[in-house]
Amino acid sequence: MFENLALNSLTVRYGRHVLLNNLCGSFSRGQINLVVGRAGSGKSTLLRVLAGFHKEYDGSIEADGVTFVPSGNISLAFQNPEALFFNGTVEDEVGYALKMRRMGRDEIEPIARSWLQKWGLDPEKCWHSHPLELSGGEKRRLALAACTIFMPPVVLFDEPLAGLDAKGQRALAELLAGMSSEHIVIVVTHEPEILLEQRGTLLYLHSEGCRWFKPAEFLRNSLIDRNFFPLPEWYHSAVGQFAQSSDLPPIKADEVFRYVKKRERMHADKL
Amino acid sequence: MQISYKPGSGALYRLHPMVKGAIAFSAIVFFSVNTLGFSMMTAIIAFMLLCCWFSGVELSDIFMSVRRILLLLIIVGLIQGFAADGFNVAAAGAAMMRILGVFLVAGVYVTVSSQSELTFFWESCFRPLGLIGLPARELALVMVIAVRFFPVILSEIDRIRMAQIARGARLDGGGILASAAALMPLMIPTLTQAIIRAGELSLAMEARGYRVTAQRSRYQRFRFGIIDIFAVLIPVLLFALLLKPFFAGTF
Repeated sequence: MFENLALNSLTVRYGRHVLLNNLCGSFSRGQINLVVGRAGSGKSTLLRVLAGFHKEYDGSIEADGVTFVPSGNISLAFQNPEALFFNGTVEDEVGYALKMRRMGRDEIEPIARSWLQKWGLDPEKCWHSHPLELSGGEKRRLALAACTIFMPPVVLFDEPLAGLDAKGQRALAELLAGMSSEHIVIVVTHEPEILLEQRGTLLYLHSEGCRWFKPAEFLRNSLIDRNFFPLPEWYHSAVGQFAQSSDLPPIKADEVFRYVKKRERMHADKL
Repeated sequence: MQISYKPGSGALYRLHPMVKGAIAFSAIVFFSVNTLGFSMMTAIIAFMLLCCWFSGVELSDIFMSVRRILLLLIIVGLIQGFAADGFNVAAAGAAMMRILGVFLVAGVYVTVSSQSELTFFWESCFRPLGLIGLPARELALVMVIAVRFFPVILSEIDRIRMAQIARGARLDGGGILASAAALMPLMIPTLTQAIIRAGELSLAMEARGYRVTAQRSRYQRFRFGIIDIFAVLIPVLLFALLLKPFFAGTF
């Protein structure tokens, strides 16, 4: 189990193109580490580098001060992971990673069943089903469960909440937060609103480089300057009502953050 | 990096799709069956690349992709080189240049032809089949959709491979048989996804008004320009060069 994963002057290239320039900082256990940025800012590239799929980079990645070796230490859940099922049953799909670690069927079954339960799936109902027979939310849970069953110290999620309804997003966000006590959880997302509620840090990638934020600070910057990061319109209107004037800058970020969260919950409940 | 259409405005881009297709086809046939030597082939390829460069064709992706066929080039070079007594460098080089030429022509053709141009070319090629009662337009559409989805399916396979590796599969070791066995699980999800996508695509096309029997107009009209008249000479010249040995004694 690692405590932190540090990026030391990480510059990622593809041929002559520099995709990420001089990234520094670290991701820690016990919190959700968000990576946000506009399309094409290099979020998914960073995940690929961390997972060891892209090796063309300068600088180093260290886990607790030692050079990080991705193999066996990391799991990457791709965007729309439910499109990547490659087994015929839920049983095989969730147990695949353990099978690859040469565990027997008898050993795998109890672990896989309890892991499915942890991810909110009923193994009695779906154990022998084809993964594609499950509902949208269940497929997503199965895919993420299958990626994390072998308990890797570092877990990478690419847009895990995309395409889920508000309730599903909230439930999944809580699951991810729960995972952060045992893993270093790194989440790439376009919609950080829900995850900003959790304790964590945020790495903002932009064309000139990167910046680390506390969630409330990031939210505040986005509310003040719409060009900084595009938050949903209802967010802005909620804050507008809250402030009742245009003097946003003096408002404390935490107050704005709490109010917006409350509004969001009301919005989700209404739905 | 995959070779794909990159918009441009150079001479090669402005050609009529039929002329582009004819040049590409004739050049591929020319590189495949000609008997010219290494130096002549190198000169032709260099001239071709120079023309592409002047037309503003972005060649970097094509050059990067040559790495993928490097092994094939080396194997062909070795086989051709050892075919004579000792090792014939010129024969090996000529064989490698022929394959490289075919690859470069195909790469340049895909880079300078947009989706609608490819569709137009395929449709025009299939049109004669309509005379004998075959559904020419639909066959062309099938071809274009297949070509269009090829890179999508390739990237899907790549994603599934990475998903397997991320979960502990070792796809790169253990010899050819083990690698082939590891590829088997890729087939089912890829085929499943392809069928799901095909179903969704057909629904989307029908929802947007596509009917097999309907008469359709064209969004883009392609006109034959002066530049095309000169460009037609290229395939004519290439075929004349290829056929020359057969008529050597006639004139």
